[in-house]
Amino acid sequence: MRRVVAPLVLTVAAVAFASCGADGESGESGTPPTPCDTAAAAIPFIETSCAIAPCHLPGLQFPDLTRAGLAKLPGMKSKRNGTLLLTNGDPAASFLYRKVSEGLGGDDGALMPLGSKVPRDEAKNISDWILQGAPTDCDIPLQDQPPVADPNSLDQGALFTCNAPTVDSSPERLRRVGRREWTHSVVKPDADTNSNSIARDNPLVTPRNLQYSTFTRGVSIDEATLDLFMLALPEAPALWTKRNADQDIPNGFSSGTDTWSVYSNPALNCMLGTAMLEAATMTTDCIDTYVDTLLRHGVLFRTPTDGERTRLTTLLTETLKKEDPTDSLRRRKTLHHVGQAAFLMGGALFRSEAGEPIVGDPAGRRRLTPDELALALGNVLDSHPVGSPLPVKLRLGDPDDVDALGLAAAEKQSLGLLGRLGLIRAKADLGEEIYSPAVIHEIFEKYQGGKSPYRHDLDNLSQKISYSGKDEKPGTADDVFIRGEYWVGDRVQEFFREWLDYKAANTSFKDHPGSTSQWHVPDTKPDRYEDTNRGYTNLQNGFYGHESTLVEQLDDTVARAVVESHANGKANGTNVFHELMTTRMWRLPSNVVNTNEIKCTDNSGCETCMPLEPNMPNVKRYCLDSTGVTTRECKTDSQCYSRCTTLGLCGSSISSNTTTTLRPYNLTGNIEHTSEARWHEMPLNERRGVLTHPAWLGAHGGNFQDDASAVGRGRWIRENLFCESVPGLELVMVEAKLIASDSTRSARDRLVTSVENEVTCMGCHSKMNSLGYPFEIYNHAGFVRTWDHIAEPPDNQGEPDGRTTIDNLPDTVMNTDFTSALDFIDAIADSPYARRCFIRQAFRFFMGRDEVLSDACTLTAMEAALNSDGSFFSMLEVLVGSESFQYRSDASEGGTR
Amino acid sequence: MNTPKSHKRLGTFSRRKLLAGLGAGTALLAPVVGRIASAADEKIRRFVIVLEGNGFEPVTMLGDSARAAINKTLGDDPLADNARWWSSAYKHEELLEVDVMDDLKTAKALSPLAAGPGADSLIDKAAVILGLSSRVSGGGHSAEHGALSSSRSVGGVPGGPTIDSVLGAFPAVRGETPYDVLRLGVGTDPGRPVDFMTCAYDKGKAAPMMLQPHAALAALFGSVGDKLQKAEFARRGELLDYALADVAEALKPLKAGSEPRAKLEAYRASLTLLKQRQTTMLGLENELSEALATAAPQLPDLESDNLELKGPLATFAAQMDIATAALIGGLTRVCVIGCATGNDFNVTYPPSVFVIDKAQDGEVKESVDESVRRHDLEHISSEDPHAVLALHKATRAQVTAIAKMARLLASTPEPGGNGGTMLDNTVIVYVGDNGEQHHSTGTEFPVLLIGGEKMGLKTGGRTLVYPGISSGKHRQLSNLWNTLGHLAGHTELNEFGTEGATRMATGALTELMDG
Repeated sequence: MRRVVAPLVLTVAAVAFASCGADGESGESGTPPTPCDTAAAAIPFIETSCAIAPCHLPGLQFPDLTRAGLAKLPGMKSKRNGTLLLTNGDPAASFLYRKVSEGLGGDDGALMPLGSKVPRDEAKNISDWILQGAPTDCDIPLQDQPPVADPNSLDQGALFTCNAPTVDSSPERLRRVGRREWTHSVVKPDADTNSNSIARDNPLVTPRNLQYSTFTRGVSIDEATLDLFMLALPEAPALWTKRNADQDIPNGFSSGTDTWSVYSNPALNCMLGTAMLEAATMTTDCIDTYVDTLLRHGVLFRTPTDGERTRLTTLLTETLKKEDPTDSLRRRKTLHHVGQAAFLMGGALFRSEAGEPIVGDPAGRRRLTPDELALALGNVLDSHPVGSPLPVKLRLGDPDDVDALGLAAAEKQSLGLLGRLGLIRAKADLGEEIYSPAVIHEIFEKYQGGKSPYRHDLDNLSQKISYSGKDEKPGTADDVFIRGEYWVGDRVQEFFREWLDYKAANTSFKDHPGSTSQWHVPDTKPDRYEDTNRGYTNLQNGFYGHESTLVEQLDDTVARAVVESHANGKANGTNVFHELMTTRMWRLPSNVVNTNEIKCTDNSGCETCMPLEPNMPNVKRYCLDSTGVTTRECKTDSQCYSRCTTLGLCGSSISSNTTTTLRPYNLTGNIEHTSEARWHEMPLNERRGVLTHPAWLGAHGGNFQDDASAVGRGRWIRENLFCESVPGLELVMVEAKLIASDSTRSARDRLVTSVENEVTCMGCHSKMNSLGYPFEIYNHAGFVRTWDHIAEPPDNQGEPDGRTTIDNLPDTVMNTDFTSALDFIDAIADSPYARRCFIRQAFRFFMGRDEVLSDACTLTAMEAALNSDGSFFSMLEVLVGSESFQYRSDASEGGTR
Repeated sequence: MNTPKSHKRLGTFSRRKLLAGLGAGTALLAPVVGRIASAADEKIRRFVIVLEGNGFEPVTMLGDSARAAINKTLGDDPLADNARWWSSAYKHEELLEVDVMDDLKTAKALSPLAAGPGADSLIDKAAVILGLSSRVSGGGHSAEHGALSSSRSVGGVPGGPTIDSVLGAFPAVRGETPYDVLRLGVGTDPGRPVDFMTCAYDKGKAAPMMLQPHAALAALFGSVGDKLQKAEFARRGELLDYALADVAEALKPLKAGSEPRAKLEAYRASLTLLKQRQTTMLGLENELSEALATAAPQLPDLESDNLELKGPLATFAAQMDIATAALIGGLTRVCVIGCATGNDFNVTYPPSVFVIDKAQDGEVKESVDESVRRHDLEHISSEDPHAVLALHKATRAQVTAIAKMARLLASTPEPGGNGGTMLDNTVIVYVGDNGEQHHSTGTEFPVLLIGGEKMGLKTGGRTLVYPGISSGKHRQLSNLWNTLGHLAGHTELNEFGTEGATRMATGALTELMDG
């Protein structure tokens, strides 16, 4: 997800102009403008075009051009060239004016506002305003829209300086439920859409202008979202309407998974049991129990208010009265209708984090209630709502698996009724106990992550996690596990996917992905069925076979770094950030899994489907190899290892899609079909850490090999590792295009030629290009380039160039020369500045908001935890125990406190 | 031509009725009211995109004269009699324009456009385009959202907005209609209500397509439907009422001006808008009833074991009829009707798909009693000529449904009173979602266009054959989508899609633009 600073509207100038003159005459023709007239024309323009994040706001590296800042400008000098910023009465002697007008010199930098190719008409207004003394105390209406705060504009040093004691809190908020959370609340996986489920495709996605999916500022439900939500709504209560699939309502949705909360809950027998249509069994208690269970475990995941309970009870009671006694499906229809109503309740779609007053708190803060804290804690670790229905059958190793505890039936049922994240639910039900640091530690120990080959955390329940051998079913003792054995809570995994922003690797179009690598093919041919593209595409969508996708491979690699650094960080003196940046132990797919490992030079050396006796029709056929040895019955060659693959091994019908999957990793050997072999130590001279993984490189690369991938990659590094913003594209007022593609120019060459000599462009690109060039040793899809285009005939091939000179990072140690991504990443891994930015990113994701200066003590404590034992989990535990996490105040979300 | 029947304001809402339905929530509906206020002098522009998920073969659109014109450019290597696609064979360097009277009706799948008993000819209102590619979309079994977005969908995630979303978002197209785009489809699983793999609002943001005609009819015409549909429509209103009451209570403790309150108020506003739409549709009972009677959709019989009555072609015909009713009723001006699209290509045809019309195809397949899946049909077609005929028959069945829509629109006067018919202000596009063959390379997407005369679309029964992909004058499917943008009044739509460096040319296909 990307940060987009909202563009400010440039429509206020006219309004301001009209309202400046109190006598209403100032705008009339022939009347000389007053100083306030000129101010009214100039100041709003400066405010809306310059005093915006990440440019000219207080506390940043550039002069403050807010209204208050302008008042202090006279006498101040430019850091760039030492000239006066504002000289009243003399525009030519004011750098402020020169920056928006003609005549900039060599040291003066880019024309402003950034992105302008020629001076804006409004420069004349600024000149007039300066001529008239540059007044700032005129009665000029404020803009409708205040500047958007950019957390990257904050002084990172101040953010990590705790002046104890502090009184911390976060703004109260109403958090709209997210897409994945809602999917899980109706007990569906966030995986490929099931044939009869559209729950995954619910529209409760986070707007793209918010950096992280956990952010909720301004997020509600608009008309279009509600329209789409109404399509998914009928599926939501299916679980709560019936026990047996043969009692389906013809609504197209199945009841789904058997859960402790519904299917195995004896308290609901009166409503759902076999006697449910008997009027005599329908008591007030039965209705109350059903409503309470539905609200607590299906909809609200907290104690309902009396009003919520009463309204739904009334609806259920009234609907029951209207049942048609001749309709055998009447109860299901009733519950389906009532259930849909429940899922539309305000409390079903918005979680309150308002807290309750603390007696005697001098700052008037409130503390999250146990119910609220339970949901918030759960939301840090997992996307299943706390207390949501727990399936009776779970994968091995699931922390909530009550079957695995060897308990008596009644005890199992009792625990099962707690639902997902049952330990959190249980502690919240005990009240104050959930505030205890020891309890929070216990919760973390259970749900944060660890090692289990069965990977209960994987949401894709249809995905094979293991199989014992080629073409055999999983479940035998010698299972081979496709995925790595390290798991982290799915919210933790989401953080890394969103911070590193690599999820798009599986969905980004890459033209000729192997271009300029050792598997380059001419790009004049369609690439759909080309070998390298087949393997790359299958790595993206996992369509053929059972291997993991690019994104999942990086997920596994990240999980290993997180879990290992938690276990060993203290002893090794390392930390999770360093480990992520440098790890070369990557999870890879097996490329031989769809071969029989028999060597061949062409298809004739592989199996053929034929009868044992030649020329005998209508008899059984077998897969016969060149020696005539039979292995299996078949009907066609496609059921045999009949293809000689590019590995020189005989492969199955899908092998052309699975034997080239190591090419993006630049590996020419094979990864065998074992759990262990899929962990592979990458070559030191090619890869290092997550930023050199094809998933990250592909997600931040362009569509074509000579696209400006360096810009996207450099921007990500600037914003997410050094917490500095690059001005948004909305500021660009020139046609930002690279020169035409041709075979004599590399991507780097196109970028340099198009941008580096243009002052207009370099105003922004100086913040990105130099950080992205090191990654030009990889192509747009993350393949290692073995050559790159240059203008030297006959073949226009030259060495890939990853050199860079960096001179503008806030960590001055980083401002030096690097030869490629490899030494650049080594420096990043050791940068305390980058590590602090990493902590800030984690704060944002798990708090669901940007950090502010008053969070300094929380951030400092997080840093201390990370430095202490290197563990990401320890750092998170400190965060959720902090006052920033647990306390609330009245300030609006996203505002200052 | 049939005489247009009398018509009272179909195709556009009565402003008075809509305003009467707004009630207390009027302030929330300012954008809608704005659209209505400017509706009096608006130019009507409608777009219907019909998409076949397995593609259809260029030969089904190829008239005799067009074949002769292509052969003339191929010298000693003309198209084989049994050629089905030939994108790599093109040698011409300039556009071939074939303008021979009634040539289209000689094409294998276009006979439904010809005049027949009680049916006027649509030939002169149609055009065929050959030679357009869309390699960026990928081809394969299905380009998913790629065909309509001219971008690559990877892992089921759209690479850009599809053209229907772009058109539906133009105020000049949507006008005052309640739905920006109506998306209906046909899938392999009759139990699956919606699918997200064909259309997209934006990159990464798929748009749903309704796959069940019964549900679509209930959603669109429930207010004027049968007893069950009216009951479902009413239940939806009750749900909205319940939610509104609940939210009103939840708002009470929240401080005025606080962000939590603002969020909940925004939700309440959305609930109110949907509720108002319900009210509005109830107020349009006559208009919607008449539109429904005009199109008279025949819904598939889900209880039947007979695929003739509930198979993909029957479902497709029903969805086409529902779309026709929605257009005439003024519920929308942009429709996408898909059949087996979005990688859901393996629909099962009834045995009758093998029963070939001897007059049409000159051959009869005897005693076929098994249904056949489209995927199998495609694969066996390389060896079995009957399978080829069956594929072409399926295409012809779709053209039949399209022709039905076109004729109904042609027989309905445009409500704006500009003297034309609704078809004159409706462009129908028929195209495949993966190109010319089952395992397509995305090199040729044959296109059939109908209608749109008063919107500026130039048809005239012509066949246009653009130069092949190696020619500098080759054109791409994205140029067709640019053309629709221009017809919608947005001449700035010149670089639709993500073709980047592989884009052959920007802008519209000027040969399709009148004047």
